[in-house]
Amino acid sequence: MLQTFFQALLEVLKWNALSFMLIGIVVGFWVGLLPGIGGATTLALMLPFVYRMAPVQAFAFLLGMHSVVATTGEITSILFGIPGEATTVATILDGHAMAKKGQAGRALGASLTSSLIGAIVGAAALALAIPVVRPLVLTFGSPEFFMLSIVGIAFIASLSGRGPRGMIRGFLAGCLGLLLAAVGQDPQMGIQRYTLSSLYLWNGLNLVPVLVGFFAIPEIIDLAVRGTAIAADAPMGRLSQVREGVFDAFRHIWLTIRCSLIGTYIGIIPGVGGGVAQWIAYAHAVQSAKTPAERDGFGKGDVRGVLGPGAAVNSKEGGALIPTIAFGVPGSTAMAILLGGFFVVGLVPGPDMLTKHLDVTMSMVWTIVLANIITVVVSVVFLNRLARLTNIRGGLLIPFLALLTFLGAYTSSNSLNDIVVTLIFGWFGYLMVRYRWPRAPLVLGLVLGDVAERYLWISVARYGSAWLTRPIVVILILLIVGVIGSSIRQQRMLPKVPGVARAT
Amino acid sequence: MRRSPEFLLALAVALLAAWALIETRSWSIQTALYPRVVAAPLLVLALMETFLSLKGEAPAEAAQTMDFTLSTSITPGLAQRRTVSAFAWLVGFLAIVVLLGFSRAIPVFVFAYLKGQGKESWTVSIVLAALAWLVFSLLFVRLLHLPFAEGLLWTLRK
Amino acid sequence: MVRVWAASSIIVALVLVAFLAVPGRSQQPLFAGKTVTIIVGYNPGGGYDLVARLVARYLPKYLPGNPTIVVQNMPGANSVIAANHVYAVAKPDGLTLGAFNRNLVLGQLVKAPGIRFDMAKFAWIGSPASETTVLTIRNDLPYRTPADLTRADPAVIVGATGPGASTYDFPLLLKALAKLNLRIISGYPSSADIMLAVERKEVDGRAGSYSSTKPFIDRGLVRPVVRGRASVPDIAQLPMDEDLVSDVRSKVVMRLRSAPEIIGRPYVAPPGTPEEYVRVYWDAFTKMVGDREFLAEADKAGLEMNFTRGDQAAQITRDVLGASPDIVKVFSQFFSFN
Repeated sequence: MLQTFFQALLEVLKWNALSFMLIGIVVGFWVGLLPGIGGATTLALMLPFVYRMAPVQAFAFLLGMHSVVATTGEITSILFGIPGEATTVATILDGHAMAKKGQAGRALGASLTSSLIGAIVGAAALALAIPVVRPLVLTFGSPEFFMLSIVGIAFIASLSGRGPRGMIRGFLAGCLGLLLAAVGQDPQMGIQRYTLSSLYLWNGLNLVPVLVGFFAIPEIIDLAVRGTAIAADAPMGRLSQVREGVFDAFRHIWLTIRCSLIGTYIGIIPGVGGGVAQWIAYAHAVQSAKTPAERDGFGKGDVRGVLGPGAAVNSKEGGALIPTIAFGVPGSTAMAILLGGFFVVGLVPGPDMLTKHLDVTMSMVWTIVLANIITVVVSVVFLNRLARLTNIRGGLLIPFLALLTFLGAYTSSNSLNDIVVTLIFGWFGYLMVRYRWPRAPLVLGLVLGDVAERYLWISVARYGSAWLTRPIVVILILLIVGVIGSSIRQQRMLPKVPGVARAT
Repeated sequence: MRRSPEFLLALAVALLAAWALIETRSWSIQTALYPRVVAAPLLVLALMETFLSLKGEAPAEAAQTMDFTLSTSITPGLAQRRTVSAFAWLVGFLAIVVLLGFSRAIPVFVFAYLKGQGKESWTVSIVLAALAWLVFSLLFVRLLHLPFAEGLLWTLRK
Repeated sequence: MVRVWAASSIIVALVLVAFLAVPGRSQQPLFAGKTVTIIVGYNPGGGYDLVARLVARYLPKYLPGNPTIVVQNMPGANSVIAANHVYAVAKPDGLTLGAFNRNLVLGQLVKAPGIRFDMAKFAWIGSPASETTVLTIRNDLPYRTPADLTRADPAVIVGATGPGASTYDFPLLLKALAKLNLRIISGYPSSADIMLAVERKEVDGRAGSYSSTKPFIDRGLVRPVVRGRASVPDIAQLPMDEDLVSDVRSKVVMRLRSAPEIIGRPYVAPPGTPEEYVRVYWDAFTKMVGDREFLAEADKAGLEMNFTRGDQAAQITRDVLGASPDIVKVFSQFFSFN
């Protein structure tokens, strides 16, 4: 197997495969940057061109593009607070806060480097897990999927607010998100729920317009109110360097690696993995804070809040490849499209990919690693200049930010209704920020609600009440109790914070 | 007892939860279970939050969130006016898009905002508006062939 | 210096405007210089979108004037939104085609809300592919024929996505009308997730399109047991669902469900599109489906190419919509449009 490992590397390095990968990287770079044009959409658009290529070339292209998208999606998240991808929302919390303190360069460096480390760890996990992949994936059934989504939400809800009031608001936001996810047709019977007789809401709320509005618009409003550049709080107007962010990633190397592993293993879980991974990594980073004062710093510009999601977002793609390759079951939307690519080039995903076609699998692993390395190296070169955008007067930037936001919302399904949704959620997001209601649990509830409901029903229908006694489910229940319990305990022991000004 | 904005927000959410629960009355158990399981705790939590916000919030217990906070460097009155005006511009942008179609709306909005709100010079406003339109046309229309409606004013004329 | 800069930028701007604003000149070949748009009712990546993009690449050379064909996605409400748009809003100038969910005609039949079109009034181009539904059971189970399944004990668990999809409707009719002993567990996010559930023995089988199940059949995970009416050579010898019931009413209900599958990938033009254009499209599609390269690629993508021309498709649609009210009533019990 080791021989195949290195042979695959040589295959990828051959010029024609490499050139396709480079093209894929260039395409993916811009796609990730622009909100609304998702990596999944573009993968689909490029698929027809893949028809003519040999397997290694085709995947070099598709994966090269896909690996890069999540990485560059973080750039707009950090610089402007506009989510470049649905998966880069968690980065906004600390990443954009750092940009406001003049540390955009540092945040960019940190996120890129942690993404790279995440990709490598994910690829390594993929390679190493090959022998145990099948039993591992098969142990997780519908009850476990359901519990995982609850764990994710409970985790975030209990961490995102400080003080008992904060915890109430956290769970409030989580439940609200879960309720919003119920809009649309119910998965069991197809009955319309809360759709207000509108055809638009038939399939439920569209995630991208909601996220774009929810996060980008409050930032734009705040920018307009401040009347300054984004990096207004930078000490003496000096911007930090990308270099520093790179060093940060290594300074906190263990955290980065742990978050990469979180991303990989959660990415293996089909369906649930995609949206949750970044948040669980973020929560883990928050928990790594040693003192309550440190914990308060999260959401306000702690570099670890950037490292966590950055690592997880990329490593989860490596994880998502596992069910795709080994079972022909895509671990995420992008993987579903990649799967189409498999059939196009005549490969059948399944156990064969781990035996007869191991070389193709290995070359995919190498492609991910190489694509990420190239992206990071290239980006570092001009990221410092990109960071200077945060120094531009807000008044000049705002129309373009609004433009990006609107286009991002519109292009997700080519409907003006999406922009209306963006504005509504923009307004609501603003209110939540103003009155100190945490937004993260709501996002997670919205993302996971549909999956959670489906798997809850399947569990009940299939196993009756016996699903509650399955071993992994029990462990997860105890985990939730533990997380909530320790959060409550930590809150009780918090010293009162003197003289904190109320938001008006 | 002060009717603070927090109170209103919490009350609104509580009312939403109550409405959601009421709507589930006519559904079968399969359709209704999940919304009920979610809306019930939502209602309880929202009511708790409503009640707590009536008591006001001592600075020492101010709920901190793991999220960004609005900047406090501007006086509240000015901040309020700027907030309202910013929202107005955004809604206005949507209105222009609906009336004129994306392609024409983009330069109009960029120009209007830069000149009207930002009080930039004529050159800067025109150049940036043209630039925005150019990038939009080349990337979204020419390259990606995304569909953009023409705008109400045009379709109504036909 | 500023003047030079200003002048040259104005010139550049004018050139660009001219370049971008030049309309297509109409010449003799019908489509010369024009762009045809295919509006797909789903997001990129799904089956309908894939077929549309395939068509977009191979159809132009069979259309006089070799136009560019562009695919636009208008997802929402299972392509009802796109269908409403093509029916009422799109211009019937022969340059717009719609590619929608094949089950829209059934949705119209059961009067699903939100439908503002009449499938029979579209200008039908046809369907390049058909869709075959099969019920498959995990290979390690002892059941081989439908008769085995009627006697199965305990009930065979079939995973489904939800009402309105063949994963659900097909086994439901088999259970209710043909008395196969099936237990349907519905709610899986996608058919791929059902296959994973089959692997981990959470469910025992899945119904669905043959093309999407084929890899798993070839791999030996599942084996097909019953098929729907539309068929392909591979599975032609499987028992058909209609043959498992004896009364006419049940047969008709099953046939109603299968009818859209023959028009697996419907392509229509807005009502009122000139007859001339429609016939040109018929001709072009017929030729395209014979194109060797097209077939090779379609095969790679796992699509079952089986061209049904517009007039046939329109007839099938009219037949479905003309079903008698009591049949529709029985059918509505089983079918809800999603």
